[in-house]
Amino acid sequence: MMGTAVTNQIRRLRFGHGEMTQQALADRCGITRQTVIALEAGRYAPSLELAFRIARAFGVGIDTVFQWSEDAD
Amino acid sequence: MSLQWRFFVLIPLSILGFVLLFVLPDIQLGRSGSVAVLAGSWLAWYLLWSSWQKSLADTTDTGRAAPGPGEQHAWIGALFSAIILLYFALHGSAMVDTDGGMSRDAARIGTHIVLLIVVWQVVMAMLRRHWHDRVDVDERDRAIQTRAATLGHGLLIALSIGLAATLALTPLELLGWARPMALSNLIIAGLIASCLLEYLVAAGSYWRDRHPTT
Repeated sequence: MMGTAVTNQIRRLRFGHGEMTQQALADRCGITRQTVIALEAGRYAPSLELAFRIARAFGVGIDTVFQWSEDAD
Repeated sequence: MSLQWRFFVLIPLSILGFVLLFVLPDIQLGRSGSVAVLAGSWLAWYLLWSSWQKSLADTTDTGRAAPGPGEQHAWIGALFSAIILLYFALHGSAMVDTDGGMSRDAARIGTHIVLLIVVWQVVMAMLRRHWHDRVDVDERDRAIQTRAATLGHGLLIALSIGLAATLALTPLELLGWARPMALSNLIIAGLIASCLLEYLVAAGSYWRDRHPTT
């Protein structure tokens, strides 16, 4: 899968939330751990619904988790 | 025994079991011999599967990205599709020779293919049970599977058009090979090949995802 223009702070937020594991985040969001790994590596851009679920898992807004990479413009 | 040694022993045993059960022509082992070969093969396959699961668990412990449920399904599907296609290629001519008659050979080949499909389903059921408390398919899996299915359908369409064009445009005197059993085998082989392509594309996408070049 190609890289994506959407960057994210998932790894940083996980560590800021008591070192939440990838599996714990996956379980909270209803996805597989492999998808969390792909998201953190910037190889997968989530759907809007999944982006909201991830943001809710951290209790923050969606723009705190995901950003549009300016390099992509 | 270390995992490497287990694989070293179990992979040849599993292949031997497969060859004895599906590739070699009927050999007379007697009832107890047949049961022993069947039980031994199942045991080798089961131990290989459990060793594989253990190696995946070890990989997860190290923090590396282990194959997820979707990737495991794809590799297992590719393996079984390839085995069935190979078996079909090796024994399809024996079925063509019967040309619709319910001969013993045709029945045996059909039984073996059904047996392979049953083994495949048992392995998949075991995998599903293994993942029962975890999400095994999410939106990323569905995106990968959709892309793979599109290619599989493309191959099936190309094969169908190729077969139809061949039958429609070839002079009748050159269509001696196109007997009912030959055509039926071609259609089934095309179906299995499209499944194989679908599983391979999905497995390849997962694998590439876990092993990025950059």
